[in-house]
Amino acid sequence: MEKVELAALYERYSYLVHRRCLALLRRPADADDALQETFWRASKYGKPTNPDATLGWLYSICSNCCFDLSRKHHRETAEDPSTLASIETRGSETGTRTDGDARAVIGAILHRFDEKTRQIGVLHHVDGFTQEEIAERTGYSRKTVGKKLASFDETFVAWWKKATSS
Amino acid sequence: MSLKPPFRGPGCPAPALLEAFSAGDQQALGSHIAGCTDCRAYVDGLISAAAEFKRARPTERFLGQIERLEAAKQRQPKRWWWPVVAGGLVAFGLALAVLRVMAPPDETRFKGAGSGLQVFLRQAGGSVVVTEDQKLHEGDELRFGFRATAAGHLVVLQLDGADQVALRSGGQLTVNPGEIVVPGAIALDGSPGPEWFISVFSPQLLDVASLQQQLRGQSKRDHLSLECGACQVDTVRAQK
Repeated sequence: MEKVELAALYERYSYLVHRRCLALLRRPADADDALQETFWRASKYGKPTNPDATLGWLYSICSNCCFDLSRKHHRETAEDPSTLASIETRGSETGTRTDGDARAVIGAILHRFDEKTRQIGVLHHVDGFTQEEIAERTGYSRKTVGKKLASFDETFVAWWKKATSS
Repeated sequence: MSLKPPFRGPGCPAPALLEAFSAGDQQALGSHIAGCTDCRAYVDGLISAAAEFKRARPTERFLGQIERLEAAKQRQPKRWWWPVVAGGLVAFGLALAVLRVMAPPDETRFKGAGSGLQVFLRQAGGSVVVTEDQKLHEGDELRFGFRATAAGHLVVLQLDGADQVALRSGGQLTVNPGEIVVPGAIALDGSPGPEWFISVFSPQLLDVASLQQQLRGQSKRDHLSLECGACQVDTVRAQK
């Protein structure tokens, strides 16, 4: 990708991608790193075929970057309960779909899932797509989407209970 | 204006689509957003916050950061290898000799239809697998599947009779071992000639632009040629 194309991509989508990074990683410094990594990878991958789906493409790269970064930094349960409570409060400001507490910790548990479950979990809980829409977008069956989401939610609830009770 | 995604009422698009609209994509949603107070407030909030973000983080500064990141990534392998070199040239030479004998060749492996890549043709009542040189028609809807034997990176490309190369996997996919259904579907256009569908799988990140460049001009050949290191290339050719 040419520098001018990368610049255009940044000008148009940087805020949204950074916002996604922040929602998944919860640390501004990490979000900045993930923003750079996302656009760097995008510049290597070439342009998406459907220009109308550019943000979805960037979000997908961004999710992988955030996952890689959180795995690299081993920052799964670094938050203490007070920090977690603060994140819960701030959740609604950083773009929550329904539950601020839920979305604020999605990033913390991403590494627990396989690629498919992670993708489906993010599409549902972060992007706000319904199960039917996810099935349509990904090509997975509606049944698979439902099963993976149930697994995602079960792990999430267990982690959340553990984190908030300690 | 609000940065909180609205409650999703009947007919409201997903928040991610509203976000895309705020960046200038998904313009088809314009009529809904114009008439929906909640969606419009969310979009307006995003547009306003994006403008503020861009003012605080100018593009030139970001491009400089990307250049430094690129330079840092290029330096990384050297730093990693120096201890190995310092550890002893003899040991390194021996390891290399062993690798030469035991490891699979670090070269591009080509496979034909029915191996890793599968192309599915949508038909009434289900889908059928496209076989080598099968006749396809304008408007045929295709999807792609891939059987990965290891974790790695995957792209699916299409090379048509006019030697146009298109990325059909939406981008570079990170995959785990198992059956993968590539997101999205394509509909064939009316241009005649061979249609090549190519999957490239590698444990390393792929240079998609280079792959596309290499494929151009090869549509009329019997076999494709592609250099991408230790990658696996699967092809399915159809006719139109």
